[in-house]
Amino acid sequence: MHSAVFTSSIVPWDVLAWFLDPPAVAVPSTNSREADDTVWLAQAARGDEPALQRLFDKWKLPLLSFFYRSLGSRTEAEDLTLEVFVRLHRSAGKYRPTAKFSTFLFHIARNLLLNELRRRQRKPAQAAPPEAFDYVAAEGTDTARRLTELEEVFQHALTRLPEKYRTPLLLLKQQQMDYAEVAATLRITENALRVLVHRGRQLLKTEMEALQ
Amino acid sequence: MNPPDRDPLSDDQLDRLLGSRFRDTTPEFEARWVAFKRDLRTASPRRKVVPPWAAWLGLMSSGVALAAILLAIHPWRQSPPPSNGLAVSPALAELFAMDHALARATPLLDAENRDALLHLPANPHS
Repeated sequence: MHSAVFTSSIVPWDVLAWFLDPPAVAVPSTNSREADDTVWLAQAARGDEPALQRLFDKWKLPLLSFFYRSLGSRTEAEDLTLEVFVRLHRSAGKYRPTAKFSTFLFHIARNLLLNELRRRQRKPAQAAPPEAFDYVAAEGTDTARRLTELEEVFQHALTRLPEKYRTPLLLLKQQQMDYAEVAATLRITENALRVLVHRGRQLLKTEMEALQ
Repeated sequence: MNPPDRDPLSDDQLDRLLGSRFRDTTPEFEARWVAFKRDLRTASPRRKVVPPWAAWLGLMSSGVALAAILLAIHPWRQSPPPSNGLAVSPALAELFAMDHALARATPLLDAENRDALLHLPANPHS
């Protein structure tokens, strides 16, 4: 699927949808880190390549990790991560900071993910080894050893979890967004989000225990 | 034989797994990014994207304009018969002359008899 990045639709529908119908519970950009993103995107729109590189350096691992946990394939995760930057670059000139940059970014990411889930055939998973993840930073500890043991079962269970439960969990825990931000990204209410998160955790634990 | 006992999964462990991210990217991925940036440099940076509603509007306007032009110039209407001044073949010239002569002729029968004749059955023996 390497060519997908360069052969996708010319019209970024998900980005247009964002501009035509911004989230109702948008959280304005306030902190300086978010402001940096907005400035870099504006600079990238004017052809400033270092600004685009800064955006890439900041967001490549969060996006890669999000897509990998959602699909279980590192190759597909890399394809979709690059596709996000294609769309970001195309829409850079029209971006208005009505919401947090991360909300905008993961709105694009999630739409790409949904498209991919709709059209993908079942592919053999290309699992990443536990050493690829940051939870083994403190190698040798009991916790790290236990998490390493759980990695395969966790990834398998997470991939089997319905997307409507998986994405909220990943945005909250992996991307460290708050509830308002995740609700804006997914365009649901915070109450609905809490229900999904609670139910998603239960399902994930049950699935992992069944697979162990 | 029972499977070995395992520690139950704790909430903290689940959160750590959910919160985990890749530590780094692969060299192949970085190489693809460099190639992608090169493509962006050669591509037009701010290509105009035509929204679908504008495309439909343009299409509809073109259709209406075309219909108006066709109605105005009537390309399908029959062209008038050639006037006498035009050069025509001898056979057609004879026909036109006959038509011209008969156009001024008065009916041979009066109107009442002509209508009666016109309404006679096609097959008189039936």
